[in-house]
Amino acid sequence: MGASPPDDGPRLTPSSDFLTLVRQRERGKLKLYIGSAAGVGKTYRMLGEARELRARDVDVVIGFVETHGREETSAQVGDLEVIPRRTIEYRGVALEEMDPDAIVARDPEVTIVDELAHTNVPGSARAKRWEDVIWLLDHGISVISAVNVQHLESLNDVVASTLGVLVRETIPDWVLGLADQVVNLDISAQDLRQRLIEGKIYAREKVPTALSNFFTPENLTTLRELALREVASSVDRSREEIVRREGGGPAARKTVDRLLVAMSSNPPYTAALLRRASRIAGRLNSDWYCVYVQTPEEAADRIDATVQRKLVENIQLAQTMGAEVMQIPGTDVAAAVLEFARARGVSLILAGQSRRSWWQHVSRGSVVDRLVRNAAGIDVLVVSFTGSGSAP
Amino acid sequence: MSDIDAALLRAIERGVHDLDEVRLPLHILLENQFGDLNDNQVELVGAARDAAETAAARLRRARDLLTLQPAQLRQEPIRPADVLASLVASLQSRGAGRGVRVAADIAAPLPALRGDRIRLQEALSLVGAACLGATPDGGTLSIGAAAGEKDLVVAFEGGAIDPTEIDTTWAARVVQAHGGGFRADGTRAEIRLPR
Repeated sequence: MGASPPDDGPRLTPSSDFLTLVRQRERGKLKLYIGSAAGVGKTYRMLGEARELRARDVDVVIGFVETHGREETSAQVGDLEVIPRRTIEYRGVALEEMDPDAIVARDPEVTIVDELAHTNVPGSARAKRWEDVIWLLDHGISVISAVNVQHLESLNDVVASTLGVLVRETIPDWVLGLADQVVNLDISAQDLRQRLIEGKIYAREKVPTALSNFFTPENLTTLRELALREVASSVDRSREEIVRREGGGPAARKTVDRLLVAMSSNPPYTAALLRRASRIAGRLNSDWYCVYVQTPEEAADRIDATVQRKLVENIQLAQTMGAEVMQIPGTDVAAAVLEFARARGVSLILAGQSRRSWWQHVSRGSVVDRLVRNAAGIDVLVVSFTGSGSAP
Repeated sequence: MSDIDAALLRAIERGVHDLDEVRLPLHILLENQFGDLNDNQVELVGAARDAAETAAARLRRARDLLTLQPAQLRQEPIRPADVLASLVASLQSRGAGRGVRVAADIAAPLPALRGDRIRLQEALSLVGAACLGATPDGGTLSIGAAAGEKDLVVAFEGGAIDPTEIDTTWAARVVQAHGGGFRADGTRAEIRLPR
């Protein structure tokens, strides 16, 4: 094929099968949760988001979720509608697989599809689950999905050489590029190993092997860094198109590659969060904001003096690191942060993992959860820390 | 579709089905349906499944090549800058392991296009990956994009690719289905997409 003239082969023309074009629904949106390893909470958060969407009258179903026997995750499924899996019989062995045809027939607005890199049972219409997801998007169904960073094709060699692990199930990088929003769930190696030891990730009999093989501090730290780099790369994408598609109107003028740190007034890990933001901003060569939302309870005449002093220290630290610090009033912290982010063309928000108790989550809700759920068109990096304020 | 194409299509479908008969038992073994495999077994069975999947993927690509219809493609707005930014980042990441430098020269602003965003993104990625693979270790792959009067030109300059390789041929077909053109000449591969 040394050269192919432009008019070779079939081509799209304004009149080509107009009815087909008319019948095409708008393509669905794709939201991706990226994690450094199994157990960081991707499935749990996707399910939480599904529940939140349903509460807002969005028609959402579970296309495929694998709970891996985790109690917390199973509880999150609750009464969400689950599309039954397809069963494939082969010589007396029963295999289960997601049923994309059934999802399309059900025609929800949004579907949850776990484990994007999964290889489908041979004989399925498509070989890989990511291909199923594209097929669902083509049918106008929006998808929330999740993948671990080592499954990205471009990282295969790096993971093999640095971790000594051959990852067989991969997704092409351009699939990540399709995502309208990427959320990176960041968790420290220490926290993740603790979750593993507590039996929250794998069955207890597999824990010792996992701890000594894949879940070593060195491996998890490397994977964490890779995930961070991927998010940094993904925000290279312009958000103008997303804004236009989400809003249905002309694109708002946006400045890309700005990031924002949502700073709390009660900040055991704020300094570490700021260091993380500074590093990412440096890699992206981008401007960054540090935003503190002052709620009525934290007004100058009501805030605890110790907290106030720490807050001032962190504001000064952020300024030293090159952030533009903004203090804005508001009663809903998440809403205020998002309003500011959209007005300033921010494409990535960093927030610290909530350390609230289960009861506080129920009674007051989580600022981070609301940020993630409502940040359409903006990537969110949820950073968790462990220890006493040490940098991750 | 000609009789020959129809016969080819049938042979491909049959081949995919036959490979499923190989892949399925390997899949079942690797899913630990009969208990955990040891590391050596995982290595051997996994390698066999990988080879079967690669062969099946090539056949499916050949099937897609035969059955691609422009009417299946969407007409949606595409921002080439988005597509190229994602592509360049991916190729840089992949090239780093072999010491291949990926240099991008993307003229701004690039005009918006209309077409099937996902298929074009995949097509560009396949051509980019082929060019990266053909670039010698330690070499440089240059990616340029600029708007002409009638079209957008994306050029890759690195190593000489085989334009008859199935992924590249499929990518060229997708580009042609959008009214564009593909040319591979020496170490340069060029895609033209109408504005």
